[in-house]
Amino acid sequence: MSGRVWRRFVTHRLALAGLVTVSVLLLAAILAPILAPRDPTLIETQLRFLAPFANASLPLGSDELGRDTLSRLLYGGRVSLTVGLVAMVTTVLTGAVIGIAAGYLGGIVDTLLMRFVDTMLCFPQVFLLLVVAAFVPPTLLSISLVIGLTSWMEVSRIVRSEILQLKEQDFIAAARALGASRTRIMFRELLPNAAAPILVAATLKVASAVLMESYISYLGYGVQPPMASWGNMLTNAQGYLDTVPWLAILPGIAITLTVMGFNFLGDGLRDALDPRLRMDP
Amino acid sequence: MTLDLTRRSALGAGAALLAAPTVHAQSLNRERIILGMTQEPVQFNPLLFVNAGTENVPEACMFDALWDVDASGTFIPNLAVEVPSPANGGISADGLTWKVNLRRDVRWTDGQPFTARDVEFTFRTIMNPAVAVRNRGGFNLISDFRVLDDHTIEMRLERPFAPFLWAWQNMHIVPRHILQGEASIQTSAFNSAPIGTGPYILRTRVAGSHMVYERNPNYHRGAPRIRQFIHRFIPDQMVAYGQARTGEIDYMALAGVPNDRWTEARAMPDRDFLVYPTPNVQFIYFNCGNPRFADPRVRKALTMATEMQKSLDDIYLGTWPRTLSYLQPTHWAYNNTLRDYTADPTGAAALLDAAGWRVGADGIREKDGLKLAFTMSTTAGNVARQGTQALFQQNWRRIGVAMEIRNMPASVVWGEFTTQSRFDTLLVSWDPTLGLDPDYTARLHSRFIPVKHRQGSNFVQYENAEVDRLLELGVTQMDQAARKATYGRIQEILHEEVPFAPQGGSVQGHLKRRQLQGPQPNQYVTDITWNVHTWNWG
Repeated sequence: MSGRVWRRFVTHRLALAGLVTVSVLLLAAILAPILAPRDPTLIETQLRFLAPFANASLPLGSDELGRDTLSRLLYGGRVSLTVGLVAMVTTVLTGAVIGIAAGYLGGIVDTLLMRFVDTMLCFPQVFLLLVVAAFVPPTLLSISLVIGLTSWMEVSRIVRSEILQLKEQDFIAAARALGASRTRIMFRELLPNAAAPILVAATLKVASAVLMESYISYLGYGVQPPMASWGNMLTNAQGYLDTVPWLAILPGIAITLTVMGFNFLGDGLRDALDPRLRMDP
Repeated sequence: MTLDLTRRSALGAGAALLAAPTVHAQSLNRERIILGMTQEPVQFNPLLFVNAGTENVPEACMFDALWDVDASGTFIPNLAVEVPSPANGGISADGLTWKVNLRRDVRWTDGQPFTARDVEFTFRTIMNPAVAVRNRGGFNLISDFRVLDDHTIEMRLERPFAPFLWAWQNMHIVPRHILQGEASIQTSAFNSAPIGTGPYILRTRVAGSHMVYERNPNYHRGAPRIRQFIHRFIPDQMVAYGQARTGEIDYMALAGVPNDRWTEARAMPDRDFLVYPTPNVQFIYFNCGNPRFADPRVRKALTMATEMQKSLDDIYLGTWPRTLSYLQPTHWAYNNTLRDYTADPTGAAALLDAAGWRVGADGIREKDGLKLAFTMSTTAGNVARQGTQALFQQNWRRIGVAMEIRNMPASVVWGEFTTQSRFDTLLVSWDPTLGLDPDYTARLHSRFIPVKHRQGSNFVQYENAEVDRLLELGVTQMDQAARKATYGRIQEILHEEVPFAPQGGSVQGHLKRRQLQGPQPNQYVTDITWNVHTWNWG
């Protein structure tokens, strides 16, 4: 089964490219302390605004305070990818549990949970995020959790609709007949079968969390300076867009690669996992 | 979905920005002046507004004070016939009785005559405890206010108060015939649709976009030569700069041209670049109520370690002058004998050692179990301030001091976090509290600590009996040389005890069309439109 999924996945070229991109970015972030040529917060104002490749010790140039762009990109990747992955896990866990509970238990539980989801969806996410962030001191973990806890609603709806279909199928009737408990049916029978849409939603959430972090950093509730994140590097570069454009272009490329990498990965996983798209014998 | 929208709008904004310099210059309309700023006024009542600089514009357009202050720091009469002085008999020999004659040819823009009753009403409103006026400094010393006739008032002070002229310069006169019947001035409709005596009349207001004023043909200092005055709000500084370059706005004022564009702006043909010193000085604020900063030696050592000059040269690109006191170095009361002791990490480390703060096992200094580790806060998203913070953080790390940056949105950081002294340190820029008088009582005197006495702006919680005494003395002295000596001594004490460490004097670069006559830098006011009634197209 998993072998077949993998075979189908590798034939999807974009998905493979996505996987490679994401792996490289993750590795670079994990190995940042080894790969980074300099301390990412070291200020040497006499070296400011160097162009990429102009100085051997600052290979991708420097920002307005003379900090090394390459080192900041590597360390910023740790922040951005951590936020992305932790937020994704939070989103998926919350969304899946609520979606399964609502879909399988139905009735009053379903009504209450879905009205709660509706209520949460009423608030524009950025504002919801800012309200929560105002009460929680900003740390890497709290930012990730806050982003995750304000963006699980779509996942829960996707999962619920999937469960509504699945629970009418014969294997669930069989499980019931065998006397399986509700918890067992929900988490051992239904959850694995709803994995495809959850995985896809998860990869897409990574991308949006990376961008969310940059929004709230800009408004003061995100990662604090001088710690770099791709989002705040982009924000700081705003004033130099027409004079020192590479300051915005480089973190822009990093964010684009991440978002595209995870999106392609998600596409590929969906195609590989979706039983309705099975084409091989 | 959000993703797409954001990308598209970001691309749009970027494209607009890049395209700006190539757009053909807009032609000049001599019937109107368009002033562009990044912030928007919301409170038009001159007694109530808090956002000086921005809300000074409606004030200057629609209202008048008894007297103004010009660019040389001289008081010039406006609603008063002349500025009272001992020489013209307006101020009694003991400095306690002030008599003011008012102009007889002034009318409110609804046609009613302006009289001494309006001035009296303004004074009573300022002192009304139910009204949250922005400043009562000076007015609270008036023990007796009398209207002698329709155009003469007499005020008796409890004690001589040298900055008294600033108090009236700072507060513009409001109409009694409209406001006296109001149950609450705080919530009056007047605050968004006011009637004044000023050179312009508010015609339309589009919130979030612009305000349009038409000239007042009966203005008592002569009708303005321009028919229409438009105040436009462009929140993004770079976009505002783009509009000033293309001529979409005639005059770009607050917050001015970004520091890194000054050279470019100076070289622009058909544009004048005005360097505008503001009354603001930027400081590191130390919370003296925090046990880490209770010892003045710690505060001085931390200041010694900072590279202040370098922060101005490399982050503010040499546009801000270094100052060693709470006054701009060009101020008449500035103490020129102070010596800059910053950028001295060795001296700083020695002073911290002497104060008992020793480097601990983790490289951070400590004393009695307390680490010399703290936070510094300012408005989030201000790139130059963040750069300054990062530089100080690096300076301090080298002497074993850990500072963590914790920035917040403006409304949060300057709210109770500041006023109730909940911060460790701040990076903040402030002006003297009573016009440009060197008096600093509200920010320094020990009775003005809001968290203890529920009044004042001594947010650093600084207490020094000698400074208290000098502040009380300074406001009673009428002789400028004597006052300079008093405030010079205060600056000397502050230089050693450092409740706040001055970095530099804030200076802005404004850009206007060369044909536009009138705008004149005036370091004695926060109001860039202080002489708006004289602006014209030459």
